[in-house]
Amino acid sequence: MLKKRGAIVDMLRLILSLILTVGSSTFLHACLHDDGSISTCHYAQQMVTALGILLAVLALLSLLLHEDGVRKGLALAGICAGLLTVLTPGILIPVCAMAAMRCRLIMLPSVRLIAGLLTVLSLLEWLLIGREEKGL
Amino acid sequence: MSLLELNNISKIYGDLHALDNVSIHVDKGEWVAIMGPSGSGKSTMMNIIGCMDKPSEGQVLLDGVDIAKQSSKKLTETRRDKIGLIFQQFHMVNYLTAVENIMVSQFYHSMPDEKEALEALERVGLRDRAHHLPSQLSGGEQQRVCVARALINHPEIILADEPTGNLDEANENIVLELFRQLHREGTTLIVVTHDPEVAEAAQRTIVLKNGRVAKEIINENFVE
Amino acid sequence: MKTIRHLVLRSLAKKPVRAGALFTLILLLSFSVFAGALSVSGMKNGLSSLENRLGADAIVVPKSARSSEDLSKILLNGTTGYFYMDRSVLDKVRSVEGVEKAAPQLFLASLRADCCSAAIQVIGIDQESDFSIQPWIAQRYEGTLGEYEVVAGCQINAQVGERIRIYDRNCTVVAKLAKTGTGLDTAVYTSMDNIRLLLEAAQELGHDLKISGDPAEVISAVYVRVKEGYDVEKVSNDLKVYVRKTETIQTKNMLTGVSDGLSGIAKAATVFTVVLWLIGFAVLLAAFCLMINERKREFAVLRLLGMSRKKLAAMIRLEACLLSVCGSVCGIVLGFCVVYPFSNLIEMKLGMPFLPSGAAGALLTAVFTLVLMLISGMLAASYTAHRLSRVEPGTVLREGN
Repeated sequence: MLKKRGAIVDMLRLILSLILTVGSSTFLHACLHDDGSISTCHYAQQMVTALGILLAVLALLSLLLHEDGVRKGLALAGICAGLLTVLTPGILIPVCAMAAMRCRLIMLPSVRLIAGLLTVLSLLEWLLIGREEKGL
Repeated sequence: MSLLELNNISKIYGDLHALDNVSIHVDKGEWVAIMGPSGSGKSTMMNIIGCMDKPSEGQVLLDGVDIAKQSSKKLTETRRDKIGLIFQQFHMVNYLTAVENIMVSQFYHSMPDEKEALEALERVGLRDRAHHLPSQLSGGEQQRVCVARALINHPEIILADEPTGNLDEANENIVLELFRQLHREGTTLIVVTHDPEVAEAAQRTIVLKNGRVAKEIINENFVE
Repeated sequence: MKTIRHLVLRSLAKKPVRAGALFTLILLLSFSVFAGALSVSGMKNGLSSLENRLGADAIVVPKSARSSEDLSKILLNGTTGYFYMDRSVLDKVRSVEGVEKAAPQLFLASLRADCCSAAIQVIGIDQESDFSIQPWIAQRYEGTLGEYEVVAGCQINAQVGERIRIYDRNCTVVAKLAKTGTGLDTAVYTSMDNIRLLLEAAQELGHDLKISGDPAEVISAVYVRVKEGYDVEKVSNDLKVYVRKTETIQTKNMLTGVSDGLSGIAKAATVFTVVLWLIGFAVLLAAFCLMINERKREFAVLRLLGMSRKKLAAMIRLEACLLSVCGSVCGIVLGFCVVYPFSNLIEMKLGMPFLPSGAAGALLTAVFTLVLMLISGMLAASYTAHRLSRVEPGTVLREGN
């Protein structure tokens, strides 16, 4: 029963991280300037894309592997990567100053929402595996 | 005085008399089989004895109390407190484990006691299957759990409806042996069946036909 | 099996697809109710906020096709704009009968270029006579603004004490204003003296502000308050007649425009939410009704084991209650996560003021949503609870034999 439940969580993690990866380069992209100049939010976007790929790989591995210890480790890594993604735009890597800029209007809240969900799902997975190990 | 008395019981559905002026009695500690072909009124009698239905006419005395006049709510209480039921199709709650199925029965009687429930499973030889779901148990094992469930509240009567109907010969023998053990301990058993071999295991067989008692057979070869 | 709650939880866990589908439905319903309610109240708060911020009965701007349009955009959308007229307009306005107060404002827009931190709207006010923005500034900063000192709207990305560069002049933020949900959140406010210095700085850098004449002699708008007892419409008409080369905008009309727009959107949002809720409720009802046949046998067994009709009905209602509470809480959390972080985007897309409720208002809306969904779930389950509790165990169980 847990494996099925865990698979659902892993699938959700995979889908969300793919949305994050693809989205950060497309519909959730940072500011684009007509003169071709690059703002710092562009680097935040790139970092988010990279972290999205990492989160997707972690979710995929969790889906394919069955050893509880390994999956627990992957879940823990997912929690850390998720938190890192939440903190990247605006905190670790600054974004544009004005609230009306695209990176602040769209990219920042979307990335934080998706990454926050991913962190929660990874935490849920970690807890579920823990319960299974205790025989509950 | 008999533990159970059905006096002039009739169950009428329009023009159909499912039971027609039937009188039987069962003494405390007795093992009685009720036999008959399809449509003979066995099921109707089973429902009335099991407090799942009320007769249209007549008296049903259980331990001196006429339950035919009881309200639906009181009947439920009587059934819960005095009757242990076993069915052909087991009727376990499929999302609860074996021990939890027994505890449900305890819950509505007094309070759930896992230790006592496990002991009940031990009695029927299924202690090691306590935490399995019904889907993980064989037919015979499920029926044994049902026997444990029926016994858990120490009822006055165990009422079994075709208890071996869905079992193979081996499991049938296991269940019948359980019944013999219960009978030796003084439990009153009423087994409704169409199988003559199951009926022969009882002390006495009441044969129904067309809603009436056709005959009563005392099993002279009854073995304790 | 220790309690009825345990029984209910195990029952839900046994049918994860059904439980999951019901949970998701309730989540979506509660999300739409909660987010819809927050959005409508946000628009109303924004309108009220704008009304408070304007403070004036009429605004006099230079006569040109764009001026009034630009003013609306500055106030509502937070886009930058500037236009100028001679400051003698102020005296002419004050001389019109019925005018109680008249206060000038001067606009400047910085650029997204090396000279400036960001492209922002700068609004200069006469701190002594201003009655629309000054009272609001006074809530956060008492005293006169010194040289190159500014007060920033809440969406300006600079904290108190930090500096903003406008046309190569470093301006110090001395206070930040509370959120209004209007375009005024993206502006920076300063004194008339300071903004004239910034105008000069802009011209020094070669930025053509299209000012004919001395920058020290221009203003952008005059905010007018009409005396008690005078008709605003008449005074506005007089202003149009006596103060030439200007246009007078009645703020009531500006607000009516916004209010009508808001009203339309709010009505549509409300209707949409109600329809969605009705559909969702119907689906919930159907889902619970479908359970009847499927679970007849299960409940017959429980009845046989001694569960009373009342307890059986309570069990079904508890299932509905658990699903409703869990689904609603998740829907409400999702609503929070969408409306608040994306409030600026919502404001931009709506093109009208949007100010999400504070903690108290949001909590109230959340409680309302939770109670509504709880009642919906219990109601939807009531028919099923009634039917299943009436199950005659003997008949049902013998059906399969």
